[in-house]
Amino acid sequence: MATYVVPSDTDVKNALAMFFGEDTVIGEGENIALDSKEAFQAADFISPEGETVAAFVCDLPLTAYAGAALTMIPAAGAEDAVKTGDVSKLMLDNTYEVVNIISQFLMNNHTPHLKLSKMYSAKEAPDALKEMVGKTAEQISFKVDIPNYGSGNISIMIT
Amino acid sequence: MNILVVDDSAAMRMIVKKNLKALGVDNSEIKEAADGALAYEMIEKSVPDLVVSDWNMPNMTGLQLLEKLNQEEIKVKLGFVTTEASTEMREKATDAGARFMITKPFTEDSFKNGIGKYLN
Repeated sequence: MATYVVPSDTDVKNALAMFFGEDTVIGEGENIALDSKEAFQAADFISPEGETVAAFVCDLPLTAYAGAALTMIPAAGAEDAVKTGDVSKLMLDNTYEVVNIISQFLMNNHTPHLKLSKMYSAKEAPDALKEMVGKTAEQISFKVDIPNYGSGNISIMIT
Repeated sequence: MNILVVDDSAAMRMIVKKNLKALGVDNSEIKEAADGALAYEMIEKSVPDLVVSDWNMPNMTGLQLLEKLNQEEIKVKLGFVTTEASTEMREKATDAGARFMITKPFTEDSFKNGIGKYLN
């Protein structure tokens, strides 16, 4: 049984509506393995003791579209990023904010605290994140459709 | 009225500003700071009517900012917009004199409910 709460698509919608508006659509997504070619960014969530307890993996489209939409970088910029794989620092910083907000729904008054430690390029994920694969109690994935931008996938793994 | 928005995330400062403007605050009345230390410097120079602050920030957290303002007897209304929602954190904020605590993610309504009474 997972230590943390498995977020629902309503939770994720509530999180992302603050950034992207009520027309954001959340649906069932594709699981993204950390070592897959689809994995683009990986977020490391740690306990107060510094142990990795959750990981989020985003694909390139989610990183580009969410990263662009958050500060209204034109959609064409996001499309370019999806085509080239070249995502700006601002888009990466914005994606950090997006995953941080979603992570609030992993906790309630009965779970331990966790916090976002760092986001990595999936190719450069540290061992602690790779070890999540063996420790994962629950994995859930969402397809996020951001109005006027596009859609991408995010996989959430919790211990 | 003059409002200072404090958050190390430019995106969150933008979201908070958007919601303040939706409540009738003019853009020219809103200033920004990227951390508590910078916010303190700005408040020392010119005390705003309201400070809307994140909690976890580098250099000086939102709580440290409020405590320093209390220590220096700089009277300013300050509230938090934060992902920190634990009972312990809320108690610390209340004990330090925070006027409101809005939890991220927030809706337009939850933002208004938290901060509305502090806006002119």
